[in-house]
Amino acid sequence: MSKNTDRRGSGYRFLNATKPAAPTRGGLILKTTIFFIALIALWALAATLINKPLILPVPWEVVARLFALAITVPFWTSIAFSLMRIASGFAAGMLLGSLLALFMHRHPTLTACLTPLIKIVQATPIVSFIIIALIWFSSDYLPIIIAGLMVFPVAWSNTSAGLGSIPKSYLELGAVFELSRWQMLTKITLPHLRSYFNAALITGIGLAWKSGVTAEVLALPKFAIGHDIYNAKIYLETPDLFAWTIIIVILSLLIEGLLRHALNRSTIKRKKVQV
Amino acid sequence: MSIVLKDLELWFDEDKPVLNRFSLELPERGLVLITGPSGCGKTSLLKVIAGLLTPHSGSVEGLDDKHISMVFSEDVLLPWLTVFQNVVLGSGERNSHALHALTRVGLDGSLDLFPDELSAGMQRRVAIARALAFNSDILILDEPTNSLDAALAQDIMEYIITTGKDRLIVCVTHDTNLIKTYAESLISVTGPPLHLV
Repeated sequence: MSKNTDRRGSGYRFLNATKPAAPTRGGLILKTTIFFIALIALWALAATLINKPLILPVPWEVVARLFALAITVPFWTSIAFSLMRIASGFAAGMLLGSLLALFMHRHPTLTACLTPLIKIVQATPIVSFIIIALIWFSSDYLPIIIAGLMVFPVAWSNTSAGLGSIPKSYLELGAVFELSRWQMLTKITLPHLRSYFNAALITGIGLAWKSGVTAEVLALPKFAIGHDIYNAKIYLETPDLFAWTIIIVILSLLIEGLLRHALNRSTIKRKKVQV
Repeated sequence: MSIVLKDLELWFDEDKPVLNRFSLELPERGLVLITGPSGCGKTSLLKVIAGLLTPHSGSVEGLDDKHISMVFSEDVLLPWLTVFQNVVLGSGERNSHALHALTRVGLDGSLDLFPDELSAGMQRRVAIARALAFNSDILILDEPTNSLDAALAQDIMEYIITTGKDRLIVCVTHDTNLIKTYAESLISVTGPPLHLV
């Protein structure tokens, strides 16, 4: 008996001794900065060793191109048009996916018919859609359609999961207190779906951005980041290719960050009272 | 018109019926206290009366056009609504009813708090206020004094029971104080399947 107690005691001491301290925000930023500096140093070293700018340009050359591009009007025009197209597709995909999930929830027979179709959309490679859509639609609309198509299943599956997880007790509450359909929707269903919808927004925005730019590379609409990337590739302007890739990553992080910030701001912050 | 439950049959598992030809007559007004061991089918009976469960056979008569409110065994408060909004939801958007009910259970100073900011006892009182604010003909209470201290439980139950002159109150409880005080209204049950003792 005493042996067991001793063993358990030493186990706790062991756990306490190895428990890592939670990283501070400042510490995390410092570590990330060091990591990126190391990564850029490695890139610079590799580029110097290879010594073929066409294959791997040095970082400062890419940064120089980035600044050179940033002072031109076409650079900002491409960004503005790409953002508009992808945002339109994203909004349409989110709206249609969520509405379809709500509609299917009310009409369960539709679920059996449409679920396999949505699963097929989820499983189909993005390039297949782009090639087919290229034949059917104008290249100007293609990024909108592809971004929407990629976001649609995410919105649908998250909303469906949210609808399926509404506690039975909430439905009983609505039934007993004679809530109208509108009250059920606005007071129970939509607030419950909020966290599922927010998760879909965060996942969907990244998907829409990546798939939208990919569609632009293949469809080549006027004024598009994808078009500029294609041109950089065709004319073997590797620093431009790297510069545009960096721009895409920065914009992606910026959009996701802004969205997260907006969602956090809209979440009610409450202090837990001591009772 | 009294409420007549006749030959009710209900099961979740066909081999273990919850109600097996269960019959009971409830008065139109006043208090009916039901007590019995946990799991004997009391909550299922309340849900049948509330219309939340449909029995496989038998009939429930006298509920037509009757409005029902309920205090569930769990509080079932919506976490995204404040105390006041939760109670207003039950009062059919009648603010004065909600405010009156909240004042009566001693929560008029906590209107803007959210359920996760309340103690278990306060959450229970919000659930009670919500049921009181709804102008119902039948008030169903499933263990209403859970999480309440004895003095508060007695005060709130005394008030609830005064409203019984205008409506039927069906209350499932294990609260011995309540059972002793209102012994004349008591129905003892056991089960499953649920049957009168």
